[in-house]
Amino acid sequence: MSILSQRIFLWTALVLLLVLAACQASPAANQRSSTADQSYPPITLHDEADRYEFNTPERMCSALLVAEVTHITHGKSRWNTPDGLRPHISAVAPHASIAQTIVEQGYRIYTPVQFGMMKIFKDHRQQETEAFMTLGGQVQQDQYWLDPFPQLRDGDHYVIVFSPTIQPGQGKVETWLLVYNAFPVDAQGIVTLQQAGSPNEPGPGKPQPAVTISLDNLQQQLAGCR
Amino acid sequence: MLKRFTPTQKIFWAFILSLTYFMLTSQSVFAWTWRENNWDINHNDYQCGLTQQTPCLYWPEPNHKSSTIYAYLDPSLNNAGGYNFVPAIQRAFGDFNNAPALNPYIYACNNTDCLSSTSYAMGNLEYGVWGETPYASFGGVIYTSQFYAIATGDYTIFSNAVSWNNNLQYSATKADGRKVATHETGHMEGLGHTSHSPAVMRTDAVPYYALQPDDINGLTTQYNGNIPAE
Repeated sequence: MSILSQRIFLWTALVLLLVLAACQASPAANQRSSTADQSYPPITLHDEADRYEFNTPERMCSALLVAEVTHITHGKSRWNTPDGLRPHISAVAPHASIAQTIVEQGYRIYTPVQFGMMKIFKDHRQQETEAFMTLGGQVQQDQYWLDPFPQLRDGDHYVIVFSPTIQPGQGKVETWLLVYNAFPVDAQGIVTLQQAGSPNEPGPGKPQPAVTISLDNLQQQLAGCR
Repeated sequence: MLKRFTPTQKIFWAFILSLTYFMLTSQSVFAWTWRENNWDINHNDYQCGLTQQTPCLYWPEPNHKSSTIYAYLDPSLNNAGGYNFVPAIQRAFGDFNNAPALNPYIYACNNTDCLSSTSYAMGNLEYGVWGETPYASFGGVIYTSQFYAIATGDYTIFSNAVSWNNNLQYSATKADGRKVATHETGHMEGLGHTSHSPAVMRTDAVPYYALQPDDINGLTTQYNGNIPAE
């Protein structure tokens, strides 16, 4: 073979190797490159949480705040950063994505809510409340949602269990309170503590039954908390 | 034509061809369609599958072969306030790997293979939350974590503010690590929350920590091609 054909052969082999290596690399690896500022791509997170439910009067007794609310208005969503804008991510661990780092460090999007009527059933607060928040929302191109944390509808009537929020580097804080459970109240004053499971859901397990309680009964039981 | 190559070149080309075959056949295989599988405690989710704007997910493995997920276990899991999460996670992996379904086979690892799959770690989660795993929106369509794990990276985070136990004890600040590890791995494998009982994919306290028949039904439905009647 001539020197020219040998060169062509070597270049072809090299290109083939590069193409194969590129095919094998996953998009995940690209996502995990280190980013040192706010210039990372838009974050869209829809996470699922496994969590404790304050869905009985006994459990509500240990909650930070339980109240009946109506006349709800929503404010503008914000990150839990000093300026409300997306966090600066200064370092990403080798095996962590930017999204993982944001969640792991405690950065969240909260949406402020105000209540035209709020009747308190149980109150263990030690600090003054600056704002009530729901978890989740959109800030510019970033979105964060965590199921089963509830979103509230403006015209609806609820009994709400509030919990502390979190701040990066601080853990839980009680100046902002989070809507943890929102139990709908119907026109007859019946509170649904557990929705009935859908009969359409496939699988051999049994759908959960609905659990309800009257507002008066719930209020009395919470007044009797030990 | 082969006579034009020297023996060294023949060996080289044989190597390249073998490598090409190996790389093409070792790619993850998966597919999805617009069918029900995201059963969830939230009634609003049951609209999925009715229109292309509200899709549900379903991905029978086309070659009757499970894909593979490598899970990086962060060192923070070795001592979560005195609790070692690694045995709980590996026990959960065993449940999913032994399920009679073509769900992804999960390996725990601590090398570069982990970069292409998922990661488990401790982190700063909401008060009352034991564990968190993503679903992801991708191109305007909701994909479950299993797809996300392969496509763009995935994670499971356990709360570093919870007192972990192996005694099925639960509150806002304590939980059984085995149940939460199985539940979160279920999300990573593509299962949603359920309102059925018994099922480890229920949120909240449950008196068991292993996969239940309802959970396994979800896996076989998603991965074996058993589309549920609705």
